[in-house]
Amino acid sequence: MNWYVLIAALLASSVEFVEALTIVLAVGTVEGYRPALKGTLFAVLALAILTAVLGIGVLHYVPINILRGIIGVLLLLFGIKWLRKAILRFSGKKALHNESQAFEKEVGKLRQNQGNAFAAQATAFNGVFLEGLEVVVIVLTMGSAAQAYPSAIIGSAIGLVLVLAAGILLRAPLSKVPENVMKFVVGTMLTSFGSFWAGESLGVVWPGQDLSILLLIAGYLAASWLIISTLKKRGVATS
Amino acid sequence: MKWLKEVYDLFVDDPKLAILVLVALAIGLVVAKAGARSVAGLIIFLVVAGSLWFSTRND
Repeated sequence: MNWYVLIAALLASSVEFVEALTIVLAVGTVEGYRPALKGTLFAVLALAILTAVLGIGVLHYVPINILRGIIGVLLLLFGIKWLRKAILRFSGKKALHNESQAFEKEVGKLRQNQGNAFAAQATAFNGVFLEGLEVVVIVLTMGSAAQAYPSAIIGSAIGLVLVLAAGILLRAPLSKVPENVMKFVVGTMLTSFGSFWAGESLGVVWPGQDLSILLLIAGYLAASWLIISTLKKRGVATS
Repeated sequence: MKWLKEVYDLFVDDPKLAILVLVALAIGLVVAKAGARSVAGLIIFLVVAGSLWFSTRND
């Protein structure tokens, strides 16, 4: 079991599943759960087909060193996007994501079109597909580069079960989930994995091999902390 | 073409930051090819962290 991959996949997929759940709950509240669940089911099927086709294609036809290079670059871009967003939110330059607000906004949009079950189904499909696409990217990239598909899949499955269980119990958007902290942790992990694998495929020799991943995580955490405190100070100074 | 934009948005939020990350990797490649293979990793880390600082500062 690759614990790095499992934890990163669990945290990242939980964040995405929480966002997807908000959309499905909004559709269910306005139009009933039939179109909401139908849209969700179609999206899950589409994602499963996409994962199977890409996963099998990628593993069978691309040599592992080239694969790690491409995946390293993609993970680095994906991770740094999340890390940047989390830093901006922590420093107060961007509003924190609020699931209750997102839910109200979605309900408001759906009410304008109330009575249109197809539009509601399409909304659930789009929400689950787009949020799920990020989970697919994480499972495919981390699973194939670390050759740890089971760990990535188990991590995401645990995330799905946890979010689903909480959603069914509460029947409300999961606004208490510390989404920004999770995004920050996952962003740091993905940026570190991306740097490591992309570097390795370019010929970099990392001291201590896999141990360097921990050093990179510590380094990016320290850099992010420094950036957040600088941005906060600047914010205070300019206000 | 809408799906292409969705895929692009999946990885890129700030195009300048994405370009700087690619520049960091290119510098790492040059340094590794020049023979300093164990220093190249440190350079990648420093340039990526610096790019993050630059991108968030100018947001």
